[in-house]
Amino acid sequence: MSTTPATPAPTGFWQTLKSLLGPIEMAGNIAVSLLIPGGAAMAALLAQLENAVNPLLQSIGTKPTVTNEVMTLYGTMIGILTSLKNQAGLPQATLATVDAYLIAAENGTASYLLASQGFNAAQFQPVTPIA
Amino acid sequence: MTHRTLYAALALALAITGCKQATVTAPLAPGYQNAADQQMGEILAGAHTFYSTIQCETQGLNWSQTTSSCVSDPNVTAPMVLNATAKLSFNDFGIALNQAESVYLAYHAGTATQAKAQAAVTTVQTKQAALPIPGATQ
Repeated sequence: MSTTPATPAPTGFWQTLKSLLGPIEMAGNIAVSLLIPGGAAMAALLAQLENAVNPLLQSIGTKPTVTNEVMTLYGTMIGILTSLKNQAGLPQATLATVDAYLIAAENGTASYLLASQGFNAAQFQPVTPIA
Repeated sequence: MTHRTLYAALALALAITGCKQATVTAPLAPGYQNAADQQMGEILAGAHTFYSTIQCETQGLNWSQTTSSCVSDPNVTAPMVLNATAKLSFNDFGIALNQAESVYLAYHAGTATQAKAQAAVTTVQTKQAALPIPGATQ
């Protein structure tokens, strides 16, 4: 008889999602992290989030290049964040975080697209630590 | 349906669709050496700006791709606050980004292998995917 405590298998939409593919983990992290403070009150949002992620799930294995999947990742992030932003009653701090991530995701998308127009070594200057 | 009819239908289907799956190859953008070079460049450029934007936002600013620096932006009204865990993760992500960009530039210049560059880019993607959300309860 095993003495190892039984750990219930993670369930739920996001747990399933996170087990499917690495690149969507960030999108899952965003939603799970932001949903925790809201608890059950945010449950209705799950359907919207699921819709936002579906294009990414459907794209797995169908895209001709990995870049298209990465592009879909940024699109998914923006979709999830936009859904969260439109949710009524979000705490101001959470809203600010969502806004900050939205800007970062949009900027990341713009750079990604810019890089697809041609190589530019200036895009790869070393970054400095965040103080 | 007889075997003969079945074979005829199959032959017709193959004739219509073609035996080989059509592959759409996007033209290489200027300055890249090959498709892998371009893919890694795009991924790293996006990740670089993502990191830089978060860094600028912690100062109440936004990242400018034009000037490659933090600039004021009416869309960023207050500094983003990173807790200790989040800051650690972002800085870890930044270290991986610097390492990957260094290897990638070497690969682009022909002095590093594609496998080494791709491994470094994958590390960046993994760390980016695992970033926590600042301010969230985790």
